[in-house]
Amino acid sequence: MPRDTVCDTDDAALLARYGRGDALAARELTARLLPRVLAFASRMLGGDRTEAEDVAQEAMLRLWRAAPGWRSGEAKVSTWLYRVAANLATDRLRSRRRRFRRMLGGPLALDEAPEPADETPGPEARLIGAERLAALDRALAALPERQREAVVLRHLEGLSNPEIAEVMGIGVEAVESLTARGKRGLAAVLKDQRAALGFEGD
Amino acid sequence: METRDLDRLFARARADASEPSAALVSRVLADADAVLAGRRVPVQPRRRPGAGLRALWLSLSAGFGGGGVLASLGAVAAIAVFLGYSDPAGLGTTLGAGLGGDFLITMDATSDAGLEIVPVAEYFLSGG
Repeated sequence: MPRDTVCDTDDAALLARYGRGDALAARELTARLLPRVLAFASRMLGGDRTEAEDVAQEAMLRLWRAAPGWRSGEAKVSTWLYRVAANLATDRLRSRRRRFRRMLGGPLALDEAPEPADETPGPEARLIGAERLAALDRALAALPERQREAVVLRHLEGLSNPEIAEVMGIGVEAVESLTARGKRGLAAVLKDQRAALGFEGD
Repeated sequence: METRDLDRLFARARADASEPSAALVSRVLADADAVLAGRRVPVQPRRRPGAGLRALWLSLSAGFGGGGVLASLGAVAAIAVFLGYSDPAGLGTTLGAGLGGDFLITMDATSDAGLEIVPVAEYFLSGG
């Protein structure tokens, strides 16, 4: 269920207050929006917390700068912020790919993003829950960017399909297609890990 | 992996969303304060009644070299108007004496013509 529907009017009111010079409104907006944009960026960037923090900070900075000219009713604050964060994350992923390509010295397909290295100990040494989440992050990182973005917004951030369509600048049907393909892709990647992740016998 | 497993995984991930670090929150709020400080528009002073007239007076007095100068000019103008209307006897003699007799203004205060200002052609022709 979309979790920002109720609060978004308040978000716009808070942003308007900030635009008029109310610093306290920035604190409240940060408390509301920063955890969400950080979580989204983290999923988009394959769990890289440092890069996700940079993206979240940059997205929030752009929100502060946009505040004076913000026209309520034009876009939802949260939707706008997700869009900015998605673009920033995509830029970083592309930059990461270019670096990786240079490192290898050869061409790399657009969606051949390197999977984040699993530097953590084996499943035996970890809690099952943490292992499952790490596996999800790895599986998400293996998806094509647009599928990953749609899946994360739908299933982890809880946006509705029309909201995702607005964030991604596509139609609702395209969103449905992306999320469906993304879920199939995740299921395929995680298929062989079902037992290791402790799903068998649950 | 089944859809049911995937949905459980999503639910766990949603519940696991960790809070931003205090350092990140501080950086974000510092950005907000900096943007606000850079954009802050000075508060416009509230206009008081009569402020327009006061501004006009200040502007005029500044143009004439200050309020004192403007007040002096006003006083001189008032005296000139008074003299013109009151037509005091002997004023021409007094002014003539003040100018050493070679005055350029003839004034006949006793005639009906009142104050008369006439250029004296002879004065210029004689080279005086």
